[in-house]
Amino acid sequence: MANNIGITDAILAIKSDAQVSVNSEDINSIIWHDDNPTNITNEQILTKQTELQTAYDAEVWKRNRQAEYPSWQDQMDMLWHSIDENAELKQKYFAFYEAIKAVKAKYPK
Amino acid sequence: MAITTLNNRSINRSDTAASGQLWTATSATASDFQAAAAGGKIGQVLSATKTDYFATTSTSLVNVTDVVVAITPAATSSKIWVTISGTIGTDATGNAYITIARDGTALISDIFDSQHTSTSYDYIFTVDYLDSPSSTSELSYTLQTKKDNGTTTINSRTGTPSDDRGQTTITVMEVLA
Repeated sequence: MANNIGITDAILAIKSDAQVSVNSEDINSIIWHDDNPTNITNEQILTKQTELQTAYDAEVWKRNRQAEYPSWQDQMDMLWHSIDENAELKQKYFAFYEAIKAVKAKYPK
Repeated sequence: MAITTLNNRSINRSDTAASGQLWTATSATASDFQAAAAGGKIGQVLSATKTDYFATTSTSLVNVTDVVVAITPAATSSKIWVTISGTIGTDATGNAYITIARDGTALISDIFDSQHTSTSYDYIFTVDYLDSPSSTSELSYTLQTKKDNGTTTINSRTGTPSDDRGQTTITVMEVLA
């Protein structure tokens, strides 16, 4: 399985201010610009990378939903029209409903 | 001296032409073989292309592995035209920067690559610089990058880092004086 979590992601998860470069995702190509003051090992990095990848994979549902949700604008428009069809909701969300209604009235179709 | 008239412009030849000379107007009424102008000719062209993935968390400029070209100018009067095009990736945690460096020293101010607000994002870039190094020693031109925070990448940030995406190429040309 391909890694979505890069080596630098794993290093930053271990030490958030680490200064490193990695070429071609090769664990043996790490250049420590800060001389690795806490002596982070390759084993620690790979363990953290696996841990983060597992967490990432567990949230596939979230990414799938985010990709398919309507835009915020469309969601808000749907919400306003739902309120517009219900007198009780118009009163309950009066300020929100009237603010948008006023703009619609100012610029009619 | 043989004199011929061509379109009311005298052609004056008293000796033989040297290799590479051009027939050129030398005044409003005369012409002759003259050495070709050298200025602006491209003396040499070198390039390197990176197709794999580079990532850094450095907040100071660092050389990007393999995006480097060494060139030795033929004359101190030569200019060096450097162009780099490729892909830079950034994430939601900070801005990324690139610059062109000669022998490790940035030649231009960092070029700002704005962070994307919510997710990783790749940008295609081209950056050029006309250098006047006044040197005939070997010079090393390279792409440098850094990040405010988080990780910046050369060749793909989105998707899977283990997949190599896109390419970044540095081309260096010696422009003769």
